Amino acid sequence: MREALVLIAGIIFLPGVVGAQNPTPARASAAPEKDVCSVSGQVVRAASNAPLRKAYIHVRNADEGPHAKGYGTRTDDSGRFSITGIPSGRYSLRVERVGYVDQFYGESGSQGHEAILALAPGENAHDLLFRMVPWSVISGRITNENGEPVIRASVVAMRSRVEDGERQLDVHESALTNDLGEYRIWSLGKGRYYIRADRDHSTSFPSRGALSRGTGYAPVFYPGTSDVAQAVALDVRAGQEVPSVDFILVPARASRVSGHVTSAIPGYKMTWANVMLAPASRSGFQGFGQEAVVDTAKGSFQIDGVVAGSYDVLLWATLGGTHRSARQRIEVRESDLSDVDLAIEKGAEILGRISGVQKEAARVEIVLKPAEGGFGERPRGDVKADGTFVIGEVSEGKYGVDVAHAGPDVYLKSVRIGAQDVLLSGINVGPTGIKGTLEVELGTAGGVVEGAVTDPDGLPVAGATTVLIPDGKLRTRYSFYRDTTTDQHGKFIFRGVRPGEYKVFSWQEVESGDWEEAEFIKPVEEKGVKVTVEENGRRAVEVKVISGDATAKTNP
Amino acid sequence: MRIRSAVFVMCFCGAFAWGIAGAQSPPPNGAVSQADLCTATGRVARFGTGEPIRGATVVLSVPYGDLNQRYSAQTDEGGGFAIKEILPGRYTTSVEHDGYVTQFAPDGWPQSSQPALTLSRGETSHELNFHLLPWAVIAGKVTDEDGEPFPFATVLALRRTFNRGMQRLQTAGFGQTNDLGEFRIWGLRPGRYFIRAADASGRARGSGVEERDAASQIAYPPGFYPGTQDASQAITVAIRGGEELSGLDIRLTPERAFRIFGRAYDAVRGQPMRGCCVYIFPAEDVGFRSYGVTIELDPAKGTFEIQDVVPGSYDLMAATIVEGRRYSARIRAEVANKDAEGVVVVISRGTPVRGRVSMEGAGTLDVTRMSVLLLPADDQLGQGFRSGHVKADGTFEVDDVSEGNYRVLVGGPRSGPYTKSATAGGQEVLESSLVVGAAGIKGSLDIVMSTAGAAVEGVVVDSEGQAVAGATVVLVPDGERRKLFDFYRNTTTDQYGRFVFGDVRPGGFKAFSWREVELGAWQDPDFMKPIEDQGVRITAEENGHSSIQLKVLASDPAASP
Repeated sequence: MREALVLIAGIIFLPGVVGAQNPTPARASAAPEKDVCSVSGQVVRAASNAPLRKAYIHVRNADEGPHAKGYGTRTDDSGRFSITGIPSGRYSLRVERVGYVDQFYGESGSQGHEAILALAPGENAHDLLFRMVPWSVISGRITNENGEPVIRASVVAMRSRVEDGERQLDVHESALTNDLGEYRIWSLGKGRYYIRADRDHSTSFPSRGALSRGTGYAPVFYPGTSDVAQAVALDVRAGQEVPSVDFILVPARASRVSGHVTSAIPGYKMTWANVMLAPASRSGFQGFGQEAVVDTAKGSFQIDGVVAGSYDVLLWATLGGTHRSARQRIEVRESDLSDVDLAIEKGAEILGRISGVQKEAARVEIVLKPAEGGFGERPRGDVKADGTFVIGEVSEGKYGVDVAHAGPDVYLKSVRIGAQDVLLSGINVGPTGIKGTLEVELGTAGGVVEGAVTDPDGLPVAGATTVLIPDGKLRTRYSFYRDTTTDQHGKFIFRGVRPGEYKVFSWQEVESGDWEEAEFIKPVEEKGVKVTVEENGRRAVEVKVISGDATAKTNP
Repeated sequence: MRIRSAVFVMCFCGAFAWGIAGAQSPPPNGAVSQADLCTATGRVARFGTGEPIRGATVVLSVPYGDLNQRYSAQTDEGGGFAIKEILPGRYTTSVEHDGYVTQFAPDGWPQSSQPALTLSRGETSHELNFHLLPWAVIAGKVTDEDGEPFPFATVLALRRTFNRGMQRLQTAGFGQTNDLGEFRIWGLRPGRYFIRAADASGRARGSGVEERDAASQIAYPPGFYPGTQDASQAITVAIRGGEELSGLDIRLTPERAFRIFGRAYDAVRGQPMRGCCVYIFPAEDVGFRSYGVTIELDPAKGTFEIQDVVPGSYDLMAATIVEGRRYSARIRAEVANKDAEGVVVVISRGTPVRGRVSMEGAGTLDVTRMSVLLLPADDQLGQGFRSGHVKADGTFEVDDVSEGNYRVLVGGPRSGPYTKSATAGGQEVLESSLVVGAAGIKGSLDIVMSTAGAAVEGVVVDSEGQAVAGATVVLVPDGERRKLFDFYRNTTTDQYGRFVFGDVRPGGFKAFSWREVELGAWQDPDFMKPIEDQGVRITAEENGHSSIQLKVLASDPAASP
């Protein structure tokens, strides 16, 4: 890393006027007298209700961006907390404490789904109670075919998730084995985890005790299979410690994968490049495999110990200060695979223009999502003040067009190239880009869909995940899906909804993104509440919560 | 870690001519016949029990050599290995296996050295035996002020070293605490260690910036075992090979923490810096540069607020990319017992420093892999250097050099011509420093390399006059040059106790030799003071040749297990 010492600007200390802070409780700076709210309550251990000190409460405005300042404090000796001086609005609250799983306000059921605390001007939300659940742990030992400990083997705990309609495995936590071959994965929340053991492939600390050329290790999935389709998830309860999740890593025939990286961008020197193998399967992403550093002078790379299978070779490189990537699917059989060529494309430039919005244009970004999903880079371009945009470095392929940072009330109305509507079909980018310019129309006359979620007894359900799914042709347009959680009154609201036909579903317990899977929605299709959204229209609906796991979880 | 290998070969033919400076590399391939190739065999066993170690990797390689001069083999069930068809040359060995400390010296050689053994043409094999020390382990628990487990703490095992003129603590191993606060650092070689724990939860008690009451603004500064922030009060632990030292408990106590308010300005584009990021690091480098927290800037104003900063010295860094080039800035920020306000980081364009490298004396300048490095004179940690490759015609350009004083160094393959002089604007800057102003330097930086250095060779003997193999030999420069870390030379003796230095810079030196010594200790004035008189004076002259006999000095206790 090169740094230049700056000697011109030293430190300029202004006479220290520290923002005056009252000791307790935490107080926000300037907030109009009427519009001042507070939150207070207690943090306890779930089973025993014993107060927990040294817990941190974080209050964030759910509607503002990441740069908005939050409010926070620490619990006292009786586990109590109090924060005053918060402006009215909708907030999410998170409590963290060493030894316990983070807890969100109103969280019921699935992790990561929280309720929104709506604070009306002058409201004091008191007696908030957070019940903290201890971390869950998975531990075990990894040995080789001789019963010897495998050192620095990698063990990952993955959860299944759906993104853009594709199911994949996300690494939640990982651990490396120590000199005794033991590993410990801790700080887990309850859930269903797929466990995978493998040699550690990082290049920063290459494994010693080199295997002879021609052998490698195939990753092993719990309960002891190399085939991810046969993997079984471990059901871990809150605060549970699951010991003896042991694995045996057996050497298998392996090959060498080698090749070259070429760059079609003249003048940009490749200063760093890394290739990584990702085992490819119908189950989507399931973690990374070996990686290797590319010799930037020769552009060559070599990866040893690759067991037979399908892989995506992924390249990340820094060229002339910019970050580039490339990928290629390879099939590794019994013999070495050489001449794997990864070409960094110059990429084409796509010009376009937006219409339909005026002053909001400055923050808007147009984003291209690769149709094949995965790790493809998402090229994007800022919309300039005059409404035009340029997306540079777009590799060949098919993309869906999306808009980002447009604000909660703006939606994507239409996308055209000339007279052709490409909202649903996406665009095909060739080596020189597209023929014509991309016309993106944004709408600000979106509708509002609001309502309440109730249980079979008619009682409001707080913290229920409520989803607005487009009906008809746009069902597979995942970027038009909207989701939120009900507040403490069981109420939800969606603003700036693109006019069209939708269905609203609500679950007590659901895994993030599950609703994007057709298989998941099918059995509950009839429970969705139909709603037609018109420009500037306002619709109110009552939704009955869907409880329990709607479908049996199948293997990935 | 560079793997240097040695091939130990016994010559049955008696004495052979000893080439000076050319002994580094073997004769070119074309000149070697099958009869000239060598074999090396030996055995690897566990230190202490003597039990054979199967599957250990034995490597022989030439330092700075190419891959064709690297040979390796794995030991069999009996711990034996054989490497055949080795080109003659000067090699270093290494033997490694999980569970053991990598060994560089065969039996009978000083264990802490990395000996280079000479292999001459047509030598036959010899028994090359290694005894490997099992890894040592340090384990324990980190707790907070209430004795509760402290997860997410990084624990470092540090050894004292001397590097670039400064005493430093270098990381030998690390571990991270789990939910029980437990850590285990394995893979350690015998020695004396400091243990230091640091809070690495990275979240700094919050995601993003928060308004918080004073009682909630606390952070845990790093602490040495058993629970002090002062290295001089820390208890060091000594461990032997294969030993497991457990129960090392470290207590971390919280302190009131403060905030740093500031802004970053991009003087290259002439606007407040947008988006990402400012990085903050503790200024004092202990072990590796850990826990760098990244702070995002307010997109509109380029301001930032860093929370949970314990009083101390910090380096704040910002970087940006303009037209494919990276520009960065680093400043020091001091946090005392209150929030620090009005801190400004300005990223500005430096100026290029251009120049030429030329050569005096016999031969042509080989600029392969050669570069000119400018090292900020006060940058002890060596992180702020800038460099430029030397082109075929000898010219070079170092980009983006900010104002400051710099040491000029020529980097590249170690053996070869020495840097005779560096001048800029008529001033000699090699032994002082190059002053770069806001507009760059006047004229160009002219560097002269020379092959007219001296050769210094000799033999190291013990008190009985016996040759000492694998001893470290150091040439310590005279006077003011002692402050210039690049003016020192060091090497190790071969199996005959012989050493050679080629291309030695003309000037006065003192030669010292030790059986066991911590790398770099000779740059420490306190270390050298008591033994100053035991060095042998040498005056190296252009194209001169000195031959000396050195008496090996008593070992440095810090270096041995």
